[in-house]
Amino acid sequence: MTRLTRLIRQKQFHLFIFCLQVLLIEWPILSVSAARGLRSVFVYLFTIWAFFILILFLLHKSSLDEASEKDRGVDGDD
Amino acid sequence: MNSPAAIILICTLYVTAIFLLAVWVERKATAGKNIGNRAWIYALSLTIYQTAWTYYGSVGKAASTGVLVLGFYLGPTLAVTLWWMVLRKLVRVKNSYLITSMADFISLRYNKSTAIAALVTVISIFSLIPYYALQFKAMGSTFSVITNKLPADRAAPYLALIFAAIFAVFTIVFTIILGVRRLAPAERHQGVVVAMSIGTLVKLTAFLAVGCYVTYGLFDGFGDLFARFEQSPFGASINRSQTTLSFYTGWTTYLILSMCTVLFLPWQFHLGVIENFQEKHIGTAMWGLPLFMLLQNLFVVPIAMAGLLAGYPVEQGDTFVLRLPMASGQTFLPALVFLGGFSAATGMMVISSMTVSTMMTNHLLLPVIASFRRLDVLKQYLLQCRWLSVALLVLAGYWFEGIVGQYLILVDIGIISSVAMLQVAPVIIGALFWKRGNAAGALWGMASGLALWIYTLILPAFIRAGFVSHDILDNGPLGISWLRPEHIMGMATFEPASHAVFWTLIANTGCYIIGSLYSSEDEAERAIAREIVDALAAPPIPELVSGEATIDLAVKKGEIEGLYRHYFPGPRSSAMVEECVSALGIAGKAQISIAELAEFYHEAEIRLASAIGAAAAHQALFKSEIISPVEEAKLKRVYADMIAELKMPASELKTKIDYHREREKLLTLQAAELEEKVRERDREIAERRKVEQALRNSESRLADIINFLPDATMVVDAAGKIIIWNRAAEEFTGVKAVEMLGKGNQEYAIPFYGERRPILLDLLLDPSREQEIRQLYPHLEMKNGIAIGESTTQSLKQGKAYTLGMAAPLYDAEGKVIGVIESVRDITERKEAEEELKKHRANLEELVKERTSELLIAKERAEVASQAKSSFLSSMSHELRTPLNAILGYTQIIRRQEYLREQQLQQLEIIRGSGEHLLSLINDILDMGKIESEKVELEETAFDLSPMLRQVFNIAKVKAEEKKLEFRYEESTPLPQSVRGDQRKLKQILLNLLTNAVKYTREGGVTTRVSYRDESGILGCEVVDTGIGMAADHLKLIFEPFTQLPGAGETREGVGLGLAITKRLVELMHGTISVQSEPGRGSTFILQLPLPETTVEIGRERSRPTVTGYQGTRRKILVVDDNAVNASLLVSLLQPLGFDVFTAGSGPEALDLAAGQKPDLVLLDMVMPGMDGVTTARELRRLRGLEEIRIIGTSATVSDTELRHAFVASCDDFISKPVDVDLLLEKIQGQLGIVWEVAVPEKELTPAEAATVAGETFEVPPQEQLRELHKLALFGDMRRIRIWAEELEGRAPQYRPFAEKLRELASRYQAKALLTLVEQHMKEPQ
Repeated sequence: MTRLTRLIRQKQFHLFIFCLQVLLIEWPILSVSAARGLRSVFVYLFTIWAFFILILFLLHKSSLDEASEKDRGVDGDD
Repeated sequence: MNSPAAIILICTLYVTAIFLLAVWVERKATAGKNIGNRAWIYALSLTIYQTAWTYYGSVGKAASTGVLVLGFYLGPTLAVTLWWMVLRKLVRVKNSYLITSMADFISLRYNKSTAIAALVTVISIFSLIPYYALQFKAMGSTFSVITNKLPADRAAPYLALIFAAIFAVFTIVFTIILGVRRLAPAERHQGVVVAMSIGTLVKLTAFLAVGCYVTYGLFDGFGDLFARFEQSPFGASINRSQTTLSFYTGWTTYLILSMCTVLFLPWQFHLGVIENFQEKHIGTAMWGLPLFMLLQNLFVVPIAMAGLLAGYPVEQGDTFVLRLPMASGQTFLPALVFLGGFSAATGMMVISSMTVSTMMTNHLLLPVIASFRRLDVLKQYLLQCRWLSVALLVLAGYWFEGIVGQYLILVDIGIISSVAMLQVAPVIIGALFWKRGNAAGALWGMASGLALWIYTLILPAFIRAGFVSHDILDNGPLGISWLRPEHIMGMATFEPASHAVFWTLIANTGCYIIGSLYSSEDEAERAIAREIVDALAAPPIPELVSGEATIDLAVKKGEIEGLYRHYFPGPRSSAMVEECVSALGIAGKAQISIAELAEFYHEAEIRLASAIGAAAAHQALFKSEIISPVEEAKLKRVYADMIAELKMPASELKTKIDYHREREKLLTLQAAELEEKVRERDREIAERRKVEQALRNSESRLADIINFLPDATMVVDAAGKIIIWNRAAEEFTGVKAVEMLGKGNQEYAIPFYGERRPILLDLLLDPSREQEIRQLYPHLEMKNGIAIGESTTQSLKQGKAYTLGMAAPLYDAEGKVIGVIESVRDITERKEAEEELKKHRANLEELVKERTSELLIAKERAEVASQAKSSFLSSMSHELRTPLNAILGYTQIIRRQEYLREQQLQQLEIIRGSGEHLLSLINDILDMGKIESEKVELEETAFDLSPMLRQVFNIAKVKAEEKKLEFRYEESTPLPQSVRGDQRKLKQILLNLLTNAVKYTREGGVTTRVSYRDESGILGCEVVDTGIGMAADHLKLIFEPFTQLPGAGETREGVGLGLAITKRLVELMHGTISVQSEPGRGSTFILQLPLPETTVEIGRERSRPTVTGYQGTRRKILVVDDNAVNASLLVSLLQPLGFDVFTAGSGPEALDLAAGQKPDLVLLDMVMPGMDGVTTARELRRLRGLEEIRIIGTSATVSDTELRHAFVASCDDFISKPVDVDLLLEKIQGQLGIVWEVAVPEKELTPAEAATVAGETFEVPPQEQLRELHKLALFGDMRRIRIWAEELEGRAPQYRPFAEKLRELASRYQAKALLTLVEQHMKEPQ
């Protein structure tokens, strides 16, 4: 869990998430669901959307924890 | 159905509620409670991004393109993933630099360029106006829908217009009242932000409500809806569109646009950056904003599908959200939906107009004012200018919607605006992550992007609105097809928005990069670029905990005590720390806040500074890291919040801080000055005390001095009261000081005068009483401000006494009279003495008169005796000089004879010298008389020293040789050629000494040693004899007059005046004379005389030519002298020279002869029996024809008598006897104006000349005649020789050569040559 926390605190992870999002909601992956019809692409997009909102929420929580740890003098990585 | 009034009422109520909420929040904020300082408020505020455009337009877009519209909301979700790096950095920059807007940030990053700020502002305005148009279009169209006003209804447009106008006015008023109240752009606008954030919930609620109603009310959920739609023709169409290239290009375009605009729209930037309270709020926004958008868009596609399934045309897709519930008979839901749209529009417009108006005034208006001084007055109306900007922006949007809006759907307008704002994205991203990006690149990039935006989007909109020819859109400008605005380079596959985004991004980014690489930035820009790019490298700013006590005080105390231990002993360090804690009032606390920690730190530094100095203490605490980086960041945040709560811009705060610092300095200076003044005053007081003490001492001393004075002295003050009464006054008056001190009213006079009366001091106290006081003092005078008076006192003790009073005023430092001092001296004895003295003086005067009378008589007698003496001396002198005149005169006449032999000449010279010595003896007697009467004067002239000495020596030598004494003359040193002095007196001195030496020497000799000291010009002369010598007791007497040595016996000669005259003369010439002598061993007289050497040319005594006659007619001279010898002497002198000389023995005889002979010149003696010379001269001039006769007086009298003066005055010239022949001839020549014929002094013939003379052969007369000629030659009678020669030539012409030779030699007075010639021919046989 600690490793996972350390992972998502790194800004490179933010970039990774950004790139992953772009990858998942852009052509050609998007075309896969788009080809299946409006329902398919609608579900796909909102699922992805919700997923990444969850990721962002976790990132936020992680940043809050990081700030608290730094306030307590624990080293962290930005 | 909702009526317009109802809708307006609802909107008004909503606006009122929002307004009240905003006001409440502002008031809370003023009270220190920040409602806006909440993460969810921050996240909700960012959802203002979803405006009326997306509120209504997304459904319309979905109706035509399916899920494509979701790209506008997925893009922000993508973007927020990076906000922890992007937005957090922007917030830190904002906190560091207190930036006020997006334009301000870009300008700051790019060298604070006003041009860039202006360009960003222009882009924002260009972007905002279509946006506003979008809002107005949405409000107008939905107002028509909800009020069920069909387009065919003529009133519909007007109602929409009116509502839009109301909306515009509301926006303007709301913005001005809540958003632009003050000129403080950096402050947060909590009220507006909170109100608008709450408003976003309305639109979300409304949209979710209508979505649920449509999905689950009108249909059986998503499945049912999708199933029906897929079975409809719209489904197939949408499905096909989702597989086309344009779908993906559009999708990507929307993603890019929304990613950028969610943060880089001016109002989004303001909400996300400027209004951010804490960085951690960004984290909430990162998931909250996407979640809000997800919810907001969850029913977009279903509603669109439902609308289409309900049979509404695609073009009405923007209003499906209203039409669907309205169609089903709902009234509340449409109203709620409309309110949601209204909320979305107002939120965006209020925030954006507030933001962009600030940019307009700061980055457009102010630079213009700075450029045009005439606009300076506007600086005072900046707030009003901002209000005007708000109004202009809103009205411009309203105008734009009216012009262009009818030709575009909502989504298109939104895209146009979004693409415009996209142009700032590259420079902002570059600003945050690329240090090399600079102002030039930013300017190039944004300008090029904006230009292409206008070309690719605005121009086509205007073309479609009909303002520009459609040909450009179809064929390109000037027919250049590859420049068609929507198909640049022939790119036809992209829809217009994608096309514009593609080309503007290419141009913008390309120009930005190339421009940045092409140009260089200065160091300041590089520095700020580094700071911004590395903003996140600094410690994170933690949450605001200023008021929370979370820091362990014991830990901090330990740290500070540990630091103190480096400088102080342990107990002392502990005590100092406790003092700090006690001073701050935190002693009992376990934990302290960051603010208290800062105070603790400061207190500790102050106490340490008192020991080791301020600089060292600061360094020590700084290095100690007592405040950790985290705490330091907290502290900064506390200060930042304090600044924010002050609600003033950084510049104003800085100004105030500077002001207070300056004021503190001034107060410190004033305090220092006051301290210095206090110290100075203390010094002055101390000095004054010293002075007062010194004054008291001085007064005490003065009182002692006055008390010590022998005169009765009193001092009164200005009021006339006694303040000092000295001991002498007590003794004089018998009245003690204690009885007098303090008494006034002239009571001080009573002890002196027995009555109360004014005295001297009253004159100084009251000068107006002078007359009265003068009457009381017989003698009174004012001298230098001091009154001095004498009077008779009636002392109580001593009775009557004469007193001398002196009174002087006493002044203070300002010159004011503060009292008078008077002393009274008893002068009775003096007065009596003076009286006695007066009596003695009278007697003395009588005696003096008697003595004076006697002295006058004695003086008269003395004068008579003196006169007799003078007369005697004069007579004696005259009588002695008369025979001497004959002696010396004839001696001179005889010397003129040429035939005298050398021996005879020497004998004559001795006669002359003796005569002259006799004459000098006579002169001595006269000189002594003159010396005694101090009538002798020096006659200084330049003369040759050696000849004069030798002459004197020769005179004395004759006498020495007579006594067969050895006579030597020695010159010890070389003598100067010429000296200056009185030659006659020197000669007299030397002659006296030499003759004296010879006189007193029987055997042996006399030696004269002469020396001269060049450096002092002193002539030394020692006369040493081997004579009889003198005893020591006689040495002092020898220089006394009429003194002769005893025992001199036969040597007794003269009158004993020689040495006395010698000494007087030596002293007169400032010399000295002394004598050394022993009886029997001779004497040595030592003479020292100052005779300075001179280089003055001295007329050498030349061998005067012998006067033999004169030229011209014969002249007659009458010699008048009662002495026949003297007369004969003159006849003998003058007759041979060719004068006719007559003699007379008395005055009458002379008058007779003169009358007969008419002489040309008279030589007249002064003293004659009967008629004296004066009378004779006067009478001679009275004779007819003799008025101009020349008279030369002669006299042997040298006394300075009136007769002599009268005689000299009556004659034309005067000569003393004995007569100097040469001088007499000179005077005769002067009186008669004759030219002498003279015999040139014969010079020695050289052997050659002699031979010539001898060798000449002449025919000569016979020997007998030659002997006669020889006789004439021996006598030197040249005139007769010339006569003889003429007679010889007349008798016998053959002797002419000889006669001519004789005449030649005679005329040249060549006597020797003549004699040689004659004697030669006499010897030679004829």
